Amino acid sequence: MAANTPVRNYNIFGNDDKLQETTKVVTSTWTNNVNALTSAFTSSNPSTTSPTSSGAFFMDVYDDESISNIQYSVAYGHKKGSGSLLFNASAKGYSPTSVIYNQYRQLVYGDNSTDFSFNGYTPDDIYVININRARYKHNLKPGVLNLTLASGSGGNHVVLNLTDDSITTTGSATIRNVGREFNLVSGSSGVQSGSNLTQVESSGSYGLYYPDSGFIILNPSALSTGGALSSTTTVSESLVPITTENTPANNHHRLINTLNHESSSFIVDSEEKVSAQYYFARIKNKDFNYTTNPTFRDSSGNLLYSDMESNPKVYITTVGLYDTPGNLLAVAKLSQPIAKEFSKEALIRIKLDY
Amino acid sequence: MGYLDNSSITVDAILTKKGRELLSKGEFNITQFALSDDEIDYSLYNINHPDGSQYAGQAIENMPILEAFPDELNMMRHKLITLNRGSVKIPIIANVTDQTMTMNIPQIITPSTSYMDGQNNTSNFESGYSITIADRRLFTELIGANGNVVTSDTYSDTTAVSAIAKGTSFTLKPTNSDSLFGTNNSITTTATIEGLDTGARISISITINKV
Repeated sequence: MAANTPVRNYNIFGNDDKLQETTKVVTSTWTNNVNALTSAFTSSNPSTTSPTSSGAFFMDVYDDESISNIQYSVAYGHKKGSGSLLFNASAKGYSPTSVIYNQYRQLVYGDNSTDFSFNGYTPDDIYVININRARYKHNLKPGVLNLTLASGSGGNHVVLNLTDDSITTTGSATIRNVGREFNLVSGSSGVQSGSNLTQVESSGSYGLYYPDSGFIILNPSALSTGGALSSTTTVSESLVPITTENTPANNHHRLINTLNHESSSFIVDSEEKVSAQYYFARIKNKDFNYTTNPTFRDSSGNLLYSDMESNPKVYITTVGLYDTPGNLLAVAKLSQPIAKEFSKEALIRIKLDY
Repeated sequence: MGYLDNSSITVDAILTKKGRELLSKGEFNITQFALSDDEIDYSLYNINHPDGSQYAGQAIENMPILEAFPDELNMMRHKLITLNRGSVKIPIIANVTDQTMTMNIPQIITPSTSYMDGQNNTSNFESGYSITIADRRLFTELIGANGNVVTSDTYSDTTAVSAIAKGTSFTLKPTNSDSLFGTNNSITTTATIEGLDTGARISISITINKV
């Protein structure tokens, strides 16, 4: 039979002792929290002599020469399959570039009848920058994108500063199957330069930005033909895609070149919602003033120091969080011991992230 | 005139292995807390400190605390307890000594608690006790019973993992297989018994003899 004493080694949380909070954490997207990615390292060129090799579809971009942390991938898609080898020379239109185009079209629009359109202009092809999932966490943050593409040198040195138009449109976005869609425009940090969404006459806007799914669709026509990164520079540094049928043009390598230029820069932040549960352990003056620590007593159960019979003093180092059956579910350590005696109370706020 | 300190102490908690397990099952529900003073050696409390009694805890209060680790069996070993002021005794587990058992023959352990009220009263019983067997391969049955908490399990493990039962007495049935003995005539493991009300605990060794 249990003795009728107030002895206990736990306190029960009341309803007011628990609080759940969700906070949005914004960090730079790139490895080591680097703000601006100014280089685009790749592994040695993958073989594109086969239309089924991964290099014919996309190429991974790393932050340094160690080639260990993928930051994003680039790809080139063509509606009719131009710019890459056909899977079978007799099956026209079936190639890595048509796979890429149809894949992103299906993701964004959910059908095969809607083509990518940039403020009314509908090209046959797209460039894609797809940010690695681990890097963008829950989603990319609109309004902080600063993508600087560059090519050429000397008199042919060309720089194009791109951003999304989320600030200009006060956050209003078209909702697609992959979440919010903003336009990619000339400007910085979410603010469009000028007011005309058609950035290049007869070519529409520079692209589309999908922050919830972590990728950017670029409009090759606006970027090249008549645009900033056109063939006024050397062909390999321009973003003018080669659209010859059944040819391994590796157009996505062109995009990497403009991202790896000495004037290039890629800034974008990622967002993550972190849920935290707070528990408030309220320790009243009459509670927890003794301890079962064997160094607090002798082998007969007597307090080690007779002075403590009237005013015991113990130290808190650890808080254990339990369920009703008594399972220890979480544990928190203090940075230094807290003295507890009958004349003291304490409030410990315990934060549990998950 | 300085500012009053109205801040509370904030600490980050980590999930234990048991917490992760129950979280994955959707059975994670924290309802109570306990405090412990693991790491504190009260012999460091210097009542003869040359600067006076208010400095008696100087060594303890400046002790850096180690980070938490996620093994729930080895955290919260020495719990702080609530007793009436003026208590002269600390509850300790009684009626439990090192055990010697024989293969396949059940043995009952019935712990009690001395000084449960902080006074000189002995042989009280708590609402329940828990027993943690370090290596449950040595037992085929572990039953906690005769209280408001009853647990029962049978084992046939091949790896050394622990097992817990709760109750006011425990029936331990040693293995009936001698495969774990090798060339030895006996094997030994450790059991820790803890009072669910007082947090008092004792560790004993259990030796099983081969037949």
